[in-house]
Amino acid sequence: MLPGRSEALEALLVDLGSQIQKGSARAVADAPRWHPTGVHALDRLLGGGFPIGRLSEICGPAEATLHPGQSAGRTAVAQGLLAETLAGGVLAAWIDLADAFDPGSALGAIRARGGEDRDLDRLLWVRARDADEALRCCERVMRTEGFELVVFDLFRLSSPSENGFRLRLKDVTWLRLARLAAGTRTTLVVVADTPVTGSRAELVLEMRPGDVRFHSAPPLLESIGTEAVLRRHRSRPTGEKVQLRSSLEVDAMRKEPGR
Amino acid sequence: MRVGCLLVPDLPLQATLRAEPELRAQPLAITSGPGNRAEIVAVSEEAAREAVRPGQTLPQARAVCPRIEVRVASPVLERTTRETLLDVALSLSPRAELAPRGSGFFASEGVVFVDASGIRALHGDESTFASVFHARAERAGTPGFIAIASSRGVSRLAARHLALASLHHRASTPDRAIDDFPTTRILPREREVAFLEPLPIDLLDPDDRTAESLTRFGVRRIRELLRLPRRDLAARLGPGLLELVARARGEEDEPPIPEPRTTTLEEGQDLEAPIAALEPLTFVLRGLVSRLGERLALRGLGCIELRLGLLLENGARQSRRIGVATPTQDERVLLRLLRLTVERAPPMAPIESVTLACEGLALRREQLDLFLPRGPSPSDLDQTLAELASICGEDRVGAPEIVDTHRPDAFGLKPFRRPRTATPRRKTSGRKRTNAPSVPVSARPQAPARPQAPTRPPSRRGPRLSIRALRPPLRAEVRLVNGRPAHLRSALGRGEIVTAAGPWRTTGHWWSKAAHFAVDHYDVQLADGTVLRLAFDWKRKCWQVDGLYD
Repeated sequence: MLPGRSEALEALLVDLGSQIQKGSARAVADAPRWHPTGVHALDRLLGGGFPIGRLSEICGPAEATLHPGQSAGRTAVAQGLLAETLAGGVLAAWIDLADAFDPGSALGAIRARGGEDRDLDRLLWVRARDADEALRCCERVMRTEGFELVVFDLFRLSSPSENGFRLRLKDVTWLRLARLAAGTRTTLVVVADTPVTGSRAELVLEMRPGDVRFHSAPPLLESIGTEAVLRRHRSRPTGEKVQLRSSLEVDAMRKEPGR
Repeated sequence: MRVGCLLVPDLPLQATLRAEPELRAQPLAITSGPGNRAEIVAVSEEAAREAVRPGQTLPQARAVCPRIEVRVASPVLERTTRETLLDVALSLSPRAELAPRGSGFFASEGVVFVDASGIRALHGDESTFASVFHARAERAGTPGFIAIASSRGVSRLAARHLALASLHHRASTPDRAIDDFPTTRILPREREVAFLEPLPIDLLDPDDRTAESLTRFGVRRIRELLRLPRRDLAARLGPGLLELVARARGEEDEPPIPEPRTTTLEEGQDLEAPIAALEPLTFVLRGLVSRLGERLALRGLGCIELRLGLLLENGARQSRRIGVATPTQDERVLLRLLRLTVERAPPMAPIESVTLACEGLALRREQLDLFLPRGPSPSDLDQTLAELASICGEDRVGAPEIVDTHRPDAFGLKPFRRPRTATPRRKTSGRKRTNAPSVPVSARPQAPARPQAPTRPPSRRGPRLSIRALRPPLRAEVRLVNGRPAHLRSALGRGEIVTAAGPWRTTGHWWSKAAHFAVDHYDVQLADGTVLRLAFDWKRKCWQVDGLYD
């Protein structure tokens, strides 16, 4: 190698500093790069799934602030991702600011994916009481190596102060969380009613509500149509969309005989 | 038999320096109480150089040394320092014993005995053992003098003599460092008598009456005491003198009696001024945790539970119990847990005194599982869970559980544990194929049968519909048309109900008036596309929204 190139390489190595990871190129290439959602159309849209070790976001349309309650399928996608991840035998965490996590729905998603009920035992559910607690818990979990997926659920339905919380989560917060995710190779997925992570997210998936289908007479809720729009992605064209339909196959927790 | 003795000459001084190590290079005086009339009971070497002496009052000391630092002798600190001496001794031998307090001139010394028999396999010779003993004591903040002899009495005399000789040495050569003077002494059995004979009788710490009688008889050295007939001495001066003579002859040949080994360690500190803010309290707690950490390390224990006791200015006492998920010596973790606990429920008044006790448990060795995916180490996971519980509360962190009830709002949360059963990790998409040579299936070695991941279901158009629970449910106003919900008004959504499916009635606990529930559920679609779970509570006779389909 020429002397000048050697110096340039040395300077580059110094500049990159901690961004350089030890290990062989083969090991890096073999490492999995994303977590699939279990929905093929959505995985194709995302280029395989949610990127591992990155910050991603599932949100509703930005203009929907006044109607945060619209059924857009954000939770369904997050729980599908959760079910797929837990099926791999790994640990996951759900940081629940809204205290809205429904274990029955999560179990339904696991069963729909073909998983086992005991998969739910590998989910750490943190029911934060306020935004500060949620953020501190999220950071603490992100610092613990070994959680493959952390869902940070900020989608508050019942609190009038959600806008205040959004203001407090400044850009530097997301930067810190993104760095923690990269450091521990944890997939951090933020679920919110409107986009909150700004430019720090590797991927932003916007969910829009669609038509709702009820099954004939007597009416039974059958499915909710949604539209997933790729709003941000580091390596894929944005603006692409895919139509999804979240179906309520068997609500075993509520409608089975005798319950 | 060989007995080692660790003697700390000025225990009140060393106890204070152990709690406030930043005072080590400053002139320091320990007083018997607050106020100017209190008497100085101990002084540091720097203060002694400035002519401050025990027995002076505070104004006298300030007159000769204006920059002197003054602390009040703390019984709590002295007690914990004595316990630390025992911890140091127990780190070297299972047979260790704290000596009872001395009297008179020796009242302020702290002494611990340790059985030094059979140490060759571990330490080689007694000199090395003494050096290790001294080094551990110094690391624990209790530097002192070590002597090894054939009995407790002689070893204590030798250590006491060493301490006094060191004091005289420093007084005579103030510009020389203390390190020049030896801090350990090994007394072979055959040289003990020759060593003891010239020593002054005061080193035996006789009581006042005996000392006065011996002085009246002109007995000043141990040599002179040993020459007196023992039977006549007992007749004239009482049986107490026989004990003194036995001590001088080195006749106490019983080994140190092992102290009952408790796994509860305690540290405490009386504060100079009451503390009302969290930051200064954290500073105090850091010192306590650091000292506890040193003692835990000496005992080879990890902290499994912390008990924080606060004495408040208004006389009230508060205590907090903090569980630690796994035995740990990590001071940062313990301090973080303490800080979170105090932050969550601050004391109602300024704090005057702090005590911190910890329950020790043998440290657990970790072994990772070959058949489990890489996850957090058990200790990391336990510490994370403990911190999360400190932040949110123990009842808000865990693994979700489906509870065996029909109650609509019921859910369970059980302690989160790392699963111990192996579940194979499914290949995650995006993994690139390696260029390994293709081998026919029949030629491959047969691997032992392992459970397979559940097969993936066929492609679906979307995920399974999920519901977001509303805890507590939102009150709603519903207008009925023909007995069915037709219009909704709630904080979550309002407007005409386009479609309503239901009702599905759920009842239970009819035998209990308090727990009885009866709810009719509807799945309703509003005009803006929102799909809610609407419930009519028959018990309260009200409508509420308890879920959102999302």
